[in-house]
Amino acid sequence: MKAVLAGKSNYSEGFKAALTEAGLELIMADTASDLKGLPEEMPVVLLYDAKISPLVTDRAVLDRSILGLKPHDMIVFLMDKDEEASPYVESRVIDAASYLASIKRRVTVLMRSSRASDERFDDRYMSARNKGVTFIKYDDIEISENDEIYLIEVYDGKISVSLETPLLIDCGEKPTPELEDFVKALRLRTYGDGCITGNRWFLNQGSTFKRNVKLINTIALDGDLNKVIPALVKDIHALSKPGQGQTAFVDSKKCAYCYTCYRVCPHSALGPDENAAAMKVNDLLCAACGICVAVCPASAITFKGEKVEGDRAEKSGKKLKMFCCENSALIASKNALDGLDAAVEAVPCGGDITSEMMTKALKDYERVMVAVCCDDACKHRDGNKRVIRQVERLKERLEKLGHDSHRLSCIQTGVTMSNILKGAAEKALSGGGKK
Amino acid sequence: MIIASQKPIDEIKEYIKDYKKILIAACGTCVTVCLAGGEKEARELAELLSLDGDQEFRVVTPERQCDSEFLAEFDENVGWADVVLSLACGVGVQYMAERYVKKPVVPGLNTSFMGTNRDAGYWTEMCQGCGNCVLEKTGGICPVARCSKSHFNGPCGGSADGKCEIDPSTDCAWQLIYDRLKSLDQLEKLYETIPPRDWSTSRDGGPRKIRRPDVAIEEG
Amino acid sequence: MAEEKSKLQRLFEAGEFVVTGEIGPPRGADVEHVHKAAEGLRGVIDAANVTDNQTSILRMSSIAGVLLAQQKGVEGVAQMTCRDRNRIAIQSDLLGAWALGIRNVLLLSGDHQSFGNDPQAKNVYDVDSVQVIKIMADLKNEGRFLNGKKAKTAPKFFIGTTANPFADPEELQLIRLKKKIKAGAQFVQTQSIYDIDRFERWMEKVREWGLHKEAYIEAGVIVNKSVRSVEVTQTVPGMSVPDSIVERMRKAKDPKEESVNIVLEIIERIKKIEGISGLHIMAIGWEEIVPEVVKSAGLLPRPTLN
Repeated sequence: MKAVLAGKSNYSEGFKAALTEAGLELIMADTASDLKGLPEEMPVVLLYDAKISPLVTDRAVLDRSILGLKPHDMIVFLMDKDEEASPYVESRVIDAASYLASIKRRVTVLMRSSRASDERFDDRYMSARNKGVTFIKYDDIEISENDEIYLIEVYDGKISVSLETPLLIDCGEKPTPELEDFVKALRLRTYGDGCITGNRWFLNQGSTFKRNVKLINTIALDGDLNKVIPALVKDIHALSKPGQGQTAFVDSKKCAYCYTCYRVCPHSALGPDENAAAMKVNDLLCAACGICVAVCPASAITFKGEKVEGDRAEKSGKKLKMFCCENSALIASKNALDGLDAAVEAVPCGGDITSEMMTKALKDYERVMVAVCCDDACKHRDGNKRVIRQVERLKERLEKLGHDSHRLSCIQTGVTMSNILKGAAEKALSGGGKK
Repeated sequence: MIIASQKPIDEIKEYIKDYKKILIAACGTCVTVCLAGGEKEARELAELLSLDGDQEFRVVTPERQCDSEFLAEFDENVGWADVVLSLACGVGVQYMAERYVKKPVVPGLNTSFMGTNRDAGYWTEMCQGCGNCVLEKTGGICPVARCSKSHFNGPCGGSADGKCEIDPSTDCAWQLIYDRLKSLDQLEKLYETIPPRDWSTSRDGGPRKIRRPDVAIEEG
Repeated sequence: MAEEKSKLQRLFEAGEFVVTGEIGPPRGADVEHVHKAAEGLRGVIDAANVTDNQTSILRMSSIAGVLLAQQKGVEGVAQMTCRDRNRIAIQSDLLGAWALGIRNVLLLSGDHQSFGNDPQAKNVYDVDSVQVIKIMADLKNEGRFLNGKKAKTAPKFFIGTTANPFADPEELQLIRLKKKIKAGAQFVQTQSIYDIDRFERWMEKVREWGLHKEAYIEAGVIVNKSVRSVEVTQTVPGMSVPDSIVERMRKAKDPKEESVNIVLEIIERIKKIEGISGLHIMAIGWEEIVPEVVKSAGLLPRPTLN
């Protein structure tokens, strides 16, 4: 099976050999332009080095930079990003801070309180604290510079602490320009200043939303790539089989060739078919999330195998209709709604629910509820948040038409939150409302 | 592309309140792609407006409402309706009204501008159709449409951090022009004073038309 | 018949350090308001701008305001923006202004109407400020309107314009100032200065470009009446008010007194900058402080002309 090994990283010949031995025929792509002409669905292993401040990773650089400091000067590490750090970075920061404390330096590590620490590091945190490192979690931070001294004010919601330091070490990871080129060429969906991998920031290990692209941060592995080989090979072989179940399908006669689906697909599964002057779906990449179906202005996209006309679910005679995302609410709804006057319709993603579907349901049911994943849990790029905004807009329009907008509601839930889902359903059912 | 947005639904409801049979005419071109008046929006509107249940709705979607050939096939549906709610741009609405002399035609959209789709759900204005393109002088960025004051000789004093004074989410067109000409190594173009322009090619010269005798079938 | 050349122009030409002020016309047809403001400034400043619906807030017209000020012995500078008038109205109004004895005009693009009380208004912007300067200069020098027709009696205004040392992009703003001067602007009033360090750097550029030799440059300052007023100023687009100034005002026991101190410090620095020919003082809603500021700055008595 063919796979692309992309990115110019310090991988060993052994790594290459191990992959070849596992049955992969490797195509090398040192730069993004080497990807040209390769099939979109071909598996890609993208190796890259995250840029992290050498003050965190390189003891010698750290030693040099503290030479000029006075003995009592504070040294501050800053982990300001909202998201979790990769375990690699986190461990390196603890190590560097411990080291400085052990040579009798005053050290503070500032972390945004929204970051979760890796519990595997509990002991190391404890040991660093014992050596004298101060860890502060904060919600708000203000940094100003005056004559090469940084004045830092952090606030944790209750108290604020002021620090002064001549050495402020930003421990954030940054993508390199080469990596950005690959991200563009592979059409990986970007997200703020990063790119999505599941719901994590992209400099962490893992696959992207595009099923056939695996990202490997070589620095985070300390150069030991052999650790990832078995899982990698397994993942790549899995890609040779087409996705299970449904995929999206574009009716080329209806397609307006407007590229809207191309822009929104989290999985980069849609691309132009120049012969037909229409978009087409790459079945190997499609995750059947339905976002393209929902956004297609020309209603040209459907799921294969599904009826093209009349996507209205049958009337059930029940009082409440619930659209449940199959990644969260649908699982939570199993048995939770027993005995309730509610009909559940599964949707692949909240992003798949259109205003038209909700409006149609309002004709047949007294109450309509949309149940989707919690924030940041959507595996299809915030389909949950989009449907919440759609619900808001529809409620507004219902009100303008003089209807009771309480008939429509929305809830976010996780797989295990059956009670919350049940409670919301009961609340909706007890609300009465005019038909 | 022509960019439009749907009128508030209560306003639309008011337009059609005295009619029983309503034909919602979507348009399959520009306004479909900007998610304002395509078949999808038309169906959604029909569902919403029929929640009360005493009006009848039909949806048709001509490829374009601004060409008579595409309208012809809908004559019958128009005949059925008491009113046509057109989800086309202003051109389509008027063209339909012209064709169906005895049928009231009401607009469902506010036609907004000529622009582009920057991102899902985000459109921006690019051209004002002023009839006398100056893009060669300005690095391909239009000061007429994209500068809030349509300045021809540089930014006003309100340009700060590359943004327009009237709205921090709007780029200062002159900052863009400057950046672009700088990257093209053509900053000398900015030293030229552009004289007051002839606006008669724009709307100010009255409704505009273009005639091409070489393409016309009959002379005159 | 009034002199052809304004007093303001002759003072500049005589090499005096000129002081101009500003009168905001009333939101109504109130004559007394302008008369009183003018009387307060008489002998304290050399000329007063009367604003043209500044920040797009509807007020009495600038030309009428100048006329009222001149009745009280204060020479006026009529302001004319490109926002509300097309080329016909601008030229027509300025013909009238000249006929009524107005000799100075300040031509500018004008704040966008979305800032004022009539954001629903249609704007004009038929010509931009560089173009309107050229129109008025051509009328003066060649006696012809923009349309090429000869004017029977051509006005010969002393033409001024504005410059913002704090707007972006800096190079393009300088290019534009150069274009304004080349088009015929004879004096330039700058945006109000709070960040004097930045202003000094800007003036270095102005001297590098030689612009101070081609037009008289007046530095603008604002006397704020309160902490609130300086806070609001900080949020106005195109203004650059350092936090340190706001902080000083906030901490002061008497913010009014502190405000005057701040302005006087800035004026002291301005006076030392090479290429500055005068000072333009604005005191929105606090016009009565202007005499004190001018006096404390050592700029009284004002020079007279023979």
